[in-house]
Amino acid sequence: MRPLLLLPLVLLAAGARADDDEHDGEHHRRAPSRSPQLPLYEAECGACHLAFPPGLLPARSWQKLLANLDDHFGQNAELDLPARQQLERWLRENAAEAGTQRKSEKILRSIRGTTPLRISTLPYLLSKHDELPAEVFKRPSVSSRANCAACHPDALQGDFEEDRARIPR
Amino acid sequence: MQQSKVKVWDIAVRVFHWSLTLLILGAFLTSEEDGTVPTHAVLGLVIFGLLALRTLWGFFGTRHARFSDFVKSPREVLAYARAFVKGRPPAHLGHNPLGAVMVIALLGLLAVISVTGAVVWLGPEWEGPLWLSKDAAHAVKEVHEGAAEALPWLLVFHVGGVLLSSLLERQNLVRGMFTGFKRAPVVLLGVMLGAAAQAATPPALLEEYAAEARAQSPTFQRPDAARGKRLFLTEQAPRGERVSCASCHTADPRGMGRTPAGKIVEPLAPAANPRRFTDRKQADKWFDRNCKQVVGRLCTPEEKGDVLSFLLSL
Ligand code: HEC
Ligand code: HEC
Ligand code: HEC
Repeated sequence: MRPLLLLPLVLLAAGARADDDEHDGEHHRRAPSRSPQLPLYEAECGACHLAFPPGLLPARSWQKLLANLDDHFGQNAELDLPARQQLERWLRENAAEAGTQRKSEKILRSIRGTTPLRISTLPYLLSKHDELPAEVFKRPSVSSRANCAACHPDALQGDFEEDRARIPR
Repeated sequence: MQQSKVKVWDIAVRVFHWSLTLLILGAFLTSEEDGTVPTHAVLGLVIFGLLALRTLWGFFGTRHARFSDFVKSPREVLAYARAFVKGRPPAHLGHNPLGAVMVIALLGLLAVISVTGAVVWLGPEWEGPLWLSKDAAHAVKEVHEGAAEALPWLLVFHVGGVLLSSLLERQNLVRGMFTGFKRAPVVLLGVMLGAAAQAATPPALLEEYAAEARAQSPTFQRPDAARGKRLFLTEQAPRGERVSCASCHTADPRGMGRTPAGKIVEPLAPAANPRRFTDRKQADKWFDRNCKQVVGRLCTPEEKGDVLSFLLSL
């Protein structure tokens, strides 16, 4: 009698998990899709931090970031006009709305109409990281929540698969 | 120092500049007597036409004619003004940022003068077709005359600025507006022609910075590694937070550094990283950025030379 009672519970739990990870679930079976790459983007936006995969923010966020590069999180990241225009176009074409990342759709849903400038504090990512103690982000080897590549070795390709995440000491 | 002449001002910019000069002179000479006012009005109309063409040229013209080439943010203008006051302005091939402010101020003021002038000319005082109340017509005329009186003052500063810049850059900028050519240090020329991708070596780059520093200040001797080291290690706080070059490149630039965002920065010293200072455009971009970050302004060629000679001494 007992095992029979347990069965529906197990099925329910499995169902809930599949539902939660409907996209990420198939991820385990298929090779992760590569985030679009652009040498100019990597050179200009990848010098101080990861060249964040464009699919992690909506077009309006990229637009706003690029419009304020002279005061970019306290840094000067100005670009000449042709480079900025080229990046603006490419980011618009590959932003979350384009669905270049599996997570894009969830990110868009979680931020509603807002225009976040940070990826690291998107509600979606905060919840993905909520089991990590705050201390790990402060380690010298990580030093910032935005340093995705410290724990996700293939972050540049847009691969944030939890199985491959490693927290450095 | 090796120098080359570079074509900076295209024929349209030059013709605009000097015909505007003559037209303004004519407009002043014809402004007092009622009898010359019809001529004054025609000159004003031509000036307005020229302004419109220049504005279009500012968007679709050649490189140094475009507004996007010389209009800079207030912060950059201030940084340039500070360097200018110290007598060490960084080199600019087109208009420098302060000159650009003057260009915009002059274009704006002339637009106000010519538009208000046209309204006065077409208004009741000259029995034109424009229906205006006496008070309104009078107010417009006041603006026209007030702006026209401000114009000579702006022009005094314009000419003063050109003469002072000629002195600091040690070249005749007035002649440049006739011939279209300015003298550029070879390196600026290189960047301009897109030759920046050309392979360079750190010592060659050091030579270029030294040559530019000499061109700007005749008393300049040679790059100084000790001065460079001081600049590299001194903490400053232009944005509130205390930073130095060492904050990201570490006090020993032969080692790995780290950005505030946590990314590793490869060593800066050429001895530890042969890719450094092999591309002038790349080096200048980061000098500009990081100097603004740490010093609060662009570094002069002298300072860049100092830092590079410090890095080469490691
Ligand atoms: C000069 C260095 C520099 C350059 C160049 C630069 N950034 Fe940044 N960026 C920073 C810093 C510093 C932060 C803040 C990181 C932190 O708080 O840990 C940041 C943060 C960000 C963030 C938010 C990260 C987060 O917390 O999720 C985004 C998005 C971003 N940058 C995009 C760009 C883009 C796009 C470009 C290219 C146009 C660019 N950056 C170029 C220094 C730079
Ligand atoms: C301190 C290390 C660390 C940093 C920094 C970090 N992550 Fe993570 N991340 C992890 C770990 C560990 C997991 C797995 C979490 C779990 O299983 O609870 C994870 C999970 C994720 C997931 C979910 C993956 C999945 O398979 O469901 C995403 C997406 C993600 N991170 C994106 C990012 C992004 C984007 C950044 C940078 C803005 C970032 N992470 C920064 C450690 C980190
Ligand atoms: C906020 C962090 C930060 C600070 C402070 C900083 N830099 Fe940098 N610097 C960087 C980054 C990031 C790069 C480019 C990354 C790369 O090329 O590996 C860089 C690159 C450079 C380069 C490019 C060299 C080349 O040819 O590749 C020079 C020159 C340079 N820095 C000089 C300085 C000087 C001088 C100072 C102090 C006035 C300074 N930096 C302060 C972060 C910083």
